[in-house]
Amino acid sequence: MPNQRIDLPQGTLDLLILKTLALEPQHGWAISERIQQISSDVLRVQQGSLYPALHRLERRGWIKAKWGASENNRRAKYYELTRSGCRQLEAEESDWRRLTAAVGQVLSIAD
Amino acid sequence: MTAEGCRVEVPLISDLLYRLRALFRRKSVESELDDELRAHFDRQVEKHLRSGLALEEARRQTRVEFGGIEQVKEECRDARGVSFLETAIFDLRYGMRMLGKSRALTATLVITLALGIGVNAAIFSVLNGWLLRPLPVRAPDRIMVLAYHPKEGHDSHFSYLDFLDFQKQAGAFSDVFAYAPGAAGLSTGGHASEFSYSAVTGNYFSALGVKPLLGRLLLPGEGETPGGEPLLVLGYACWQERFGADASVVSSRVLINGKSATIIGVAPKEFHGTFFAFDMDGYLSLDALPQIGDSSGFWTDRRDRTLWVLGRLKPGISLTQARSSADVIAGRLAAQYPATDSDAAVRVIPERLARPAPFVTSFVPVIAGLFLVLPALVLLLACLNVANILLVRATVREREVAIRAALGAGRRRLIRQMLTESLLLTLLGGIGGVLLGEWAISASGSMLHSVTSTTSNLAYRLDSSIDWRVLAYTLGAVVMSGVFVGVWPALRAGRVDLNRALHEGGRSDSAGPGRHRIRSILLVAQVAGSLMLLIVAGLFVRSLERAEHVYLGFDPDHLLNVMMDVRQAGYDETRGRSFYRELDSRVRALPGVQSTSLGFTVPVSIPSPDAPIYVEGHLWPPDRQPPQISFNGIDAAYLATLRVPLVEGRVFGDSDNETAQPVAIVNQTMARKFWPNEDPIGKRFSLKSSSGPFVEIVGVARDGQSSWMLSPDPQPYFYLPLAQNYDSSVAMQVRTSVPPQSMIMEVQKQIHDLAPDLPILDIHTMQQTVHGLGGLLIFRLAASLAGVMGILGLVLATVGVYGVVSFSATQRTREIGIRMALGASRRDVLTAIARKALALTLIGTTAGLAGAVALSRLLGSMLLGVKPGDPLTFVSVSLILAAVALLASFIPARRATKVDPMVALRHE
Repeated sequence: MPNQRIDLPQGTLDLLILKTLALEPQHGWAISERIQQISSDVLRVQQGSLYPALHRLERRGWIKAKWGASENNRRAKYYELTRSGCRQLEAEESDWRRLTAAVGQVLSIAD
Repeated sequence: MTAEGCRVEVPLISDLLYRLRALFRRKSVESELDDELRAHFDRQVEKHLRSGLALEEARRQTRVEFGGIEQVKEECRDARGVSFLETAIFDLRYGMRMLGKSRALTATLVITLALGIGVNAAIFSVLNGWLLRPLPVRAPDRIMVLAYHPKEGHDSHFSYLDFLDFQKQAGAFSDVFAYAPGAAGLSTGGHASEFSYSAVTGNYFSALGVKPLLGRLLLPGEGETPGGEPLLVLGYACWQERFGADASVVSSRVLINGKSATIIGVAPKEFHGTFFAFDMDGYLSLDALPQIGDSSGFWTDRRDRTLWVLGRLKPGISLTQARSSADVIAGRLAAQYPATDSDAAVRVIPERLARPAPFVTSFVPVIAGLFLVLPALVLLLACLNVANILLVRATVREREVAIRAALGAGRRRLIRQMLTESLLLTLLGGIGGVLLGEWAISASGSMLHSVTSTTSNLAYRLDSSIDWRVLAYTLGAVVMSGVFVGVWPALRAGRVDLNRALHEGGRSDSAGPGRHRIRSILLVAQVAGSLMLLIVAGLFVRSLERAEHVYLGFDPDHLLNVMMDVRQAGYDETRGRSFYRELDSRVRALPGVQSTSLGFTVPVSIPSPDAPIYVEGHLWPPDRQPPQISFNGIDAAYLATLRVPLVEGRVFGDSDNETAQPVAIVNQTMARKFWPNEDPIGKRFSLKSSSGPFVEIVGVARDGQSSWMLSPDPQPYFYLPLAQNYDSSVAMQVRTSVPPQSMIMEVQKQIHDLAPDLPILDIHTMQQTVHGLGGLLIFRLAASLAGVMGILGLVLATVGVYGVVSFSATQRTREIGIRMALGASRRDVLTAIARKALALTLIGTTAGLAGAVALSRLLGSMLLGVKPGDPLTFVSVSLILAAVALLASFIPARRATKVDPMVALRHE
C-alpha cells in the first residue's frame, strides 16, 4: 500500500492544511483523510505532525478552532480559515507555483 | 516544517492571546488536546474496522501510524509556544528536588554564596544610604546643588547678596533656596545642650515640599530681615528627646547661643535636613545667623560666604539648560562685582551627586569603588568555589545527564536545566545574603554608633537599611553569580558524550583533560583573588599597627578633656575669659586633680586652626601663597599638663599677656622647615603679612601628633599664648591622679554651677579620644573590614584547594592503586598528587601579586606609615597563603596514599 507514498517536503503541510480548510471547516482527522483522498493516496499526513501544525497555525491566527458536533453527533474540534489565513493561503499558493515552475524549468534544462 | 515565508505576517494580538490562554488555562488546553487526539484515534480505528480488520489489529495499526502520543503532545506544546515558562517551572521543580536530595552539599553552597552576597549587600547598602538614597522630599530628582566656585580655594558657598541675585535671575529654577549648617548651644529651663542647626531661607521648606508635623514651618521671605527675633522649627528627634514630644512647645521660647528664639513648629519624622548624613536638631530662620554667630557682615558683605544653595529645576528644564543659565548669571555677577566675584563660577550638580559636599565629590567615587571592589572579589571567590563544586557534581551527574539526553533532551534544554539549578542556588544564597547583610549592618552600626558617640555629640545619621536599590543590586549579584557558577557545568552537560557516559557507567578515572583545565583555571583565579584580598587586609592591619605605635608626643593617661564654646551661652570675650579663668582655678582645686590647662584644642580631637606663615625677612611673591601651618592657642600650663617636652627655650608665662610682645613656641619640624641650621629662638614670623605684625619664638617643643588625624610623619605646628589670642571655643585638660573617668561628674557640676546655660560639647578621657574618630577608629574600622574580607577569602581559597585536590585524589584512586601495586612509594604518590596543586597555587600567587600591586595603589592615601607596595606585607601574606594552600592539598593527598592497593583496584 505505501509504495507510492511521497514524504511531504518541508513547509508544504501548512499549505495543504490551509487549502483543505479553504474548502470548508474540518476537524483534524477529516483534514488528513481529505488530503490523502484528493492526492489519490500519494500524500499521507503523519498524525504526529498534523496536530503540532494545527496548533502552530492557530497561534499565528490563520485558522481558528471551535468545538462542534460531527456527522454522527460526536464532539469534534473544527478548524476554519480566518481572514488572514485566506491571505496567507493566497501568498503561499503563488509562492508554491513559482517554486515548482522554477524547479521544473531547471530540471528541464538539466536534461 | 514551518512555512516561514518572507512575507509571513504574525498577528501579534492573536498570538499573545493564544499563548496566554495556553499558559493560564493549561489544564483545559491539555484536556482539549487529549479529546482531540482520542477522537482522531477512534476515527482511524473505525476506518480500519470498515476496511475489514479485527478490532485488536485495527488498534495496533492505528497506534503504529500515530507514533508516540506523548511526543505528539510535546510537539503541540512546543507549537503553542508556551514551553518557555512551562519548562522554567518544570526545571525549577526538578532543581529543587535535586538540591533537596543532597542537603549537606546544598547547605554548603548556599552558605558560601550567602557570605559572598551578604558582604556585597552590606557594603552596598552603606554606600546606598550614603550616596544614593534620595532626600525624603517632593520630587527629589529635581533638586540641584548650586556650588559657588571662586577661582581659588575649595569654597562652594554663596554670600547672601550673591544668593539673592542668583535667586532673582535663575529662570531655570522654580525655587532657589539656601541653608547654613552649624552648631550652637540650646538652653531651655536651665538645661543646656549642643544643638545642630540649619539656618534656612524662608522658602526652604516650601521649595522642598516638606509639610509640618506640628505647628507651621517657615514661609517664603520670612526671617530675611536683619534683627528680627529668630524663629525655630524643631527636628523630630530633637523634639522627641529634648522636649519629650510635648505638643505645647510650639510658640514657646528657647535660648540659642544665649539669644531668644520662638519655636513655631516641628518638622516631620522622615526629614533630617539637607546637610548630608547629619540629623538637624532644628531649623532657624536666616536672621538668627548674624545674631548667634560672629558674621556681622552676613547681610551686606559679598565675601561672607556661608550659604549652601539648592535649586529646584523647573519642569521641562534639563540639567544642561540649567547649567548654561547658571553660567550666564555667574558671568553677570563677575562683571558686576569684580572686587568680590571675579572669576566666579556656579556649578549645578544633582543633589545626590554632590554628596557629602560639592567640593569633595571627586574622591568619593574612588573610595566607593574600592569598597565595592573588595566585596566583589569575595563574591567572585565564593562563586569560584561553588562553580568548582558544581563541576565536580556535574561529573557525578554525568550519567543522569546522559540518560536525559538519550530520552530526547536537547543540548539547549540541558544547559537551561543546569542554569536554572544554579540560579536557584544563588537565589537561596541571595536571600541568605540579604539577611546576613542586614544583620551585619545592624551589628556594625550599633558598634560604630557606640564608638562615635564617645567622640562626638553630633547626630550622625546614616540610613543603611535595605531598600529596593539594595535588593536590585543584590539581585544583580545573584543573577550574575548564578550564571557564572552554572555556566561551567552547563557547558559540560551540553557536551556530554552519550555513548561514553552510558557505557562507562560513570567510571571516574576517565575524566577528560578539558574539565581539569577549567577546574585548574578556577583554582588559579581563586588563589589569586584571595591573595589580593589578603594583601589589602595585610596592608590595613599593618597600617593600624603603625598607627597604634605612632609617637603621640604627649601622655594620654590620666588625662580628661572637656570642650565647650562660651558663645553657645551668649558670652562675649570678657565674660568668656573670666569664666574660663574661674573654671580653671575651681577644677584645679578639686581633690584628685594634679594640674589643669586650657587650649583651643587638643591633638587628634578636632581640627586645629591654621594660618599663613610669613617669615621675617623672607619676601613672598604676591602671586604665591605662603604655607598654611596649624597652630594651637595654649595657656602657660598646657605643655606641662599634656607632658609635651620642651626642647629649647621657655614655656609661656603670665607675663605673655595682651600688652606684651606677641610670642610663639614652634615644634622641631617647624623650626627645621623655616629656619634650617639656625637657632629658632628669637626669630620672628607673622600670620598677617610679610611686613608684620610679628611674633617672636621663645621656645621649641618636641614633635608629636598635632593635627586631628593621626599622621605618620611629624607636621610643622606652633603654639600661641591664649592670653594674646582669644577663641570662644576652648578645650580644658585635667591631669588627674585618680582614674580620669571618675572626675567627669564633678567637672560637669563645676561648669553647670558657673554657667547653667553652657552646653558641654565633649567630655572624654584622652585615651578615648586617641581611640576615637580622629585617632585610631578609622584605622581600626578599615583594618577590621579588610580583615574580615581577607579571612573570608582565605577560607574560601582553602576550601577550594582542598576540594580540588581531594576530588582529583578520589578520582585517581584506581591509578594510585595500580602505581602502588607496581611498587611506587607513598612519597611518589604524594608528590604526584600534590605537585599539580602546588603548581597551580604558584601560578595563582603570581597572578594575585600582580593584581594586588594594582589594587593597593588605590589604597595609598588611606594607609598610615605603610607604602602600598610594602614588601613585608606582600611577602609574608604570600607565604601564609602558600602555606595554607600546601596544607590544604597535603591532607587529601596523604589520605590518598593510605589507600590499600587491593581495595583501590576493586574500587567500582
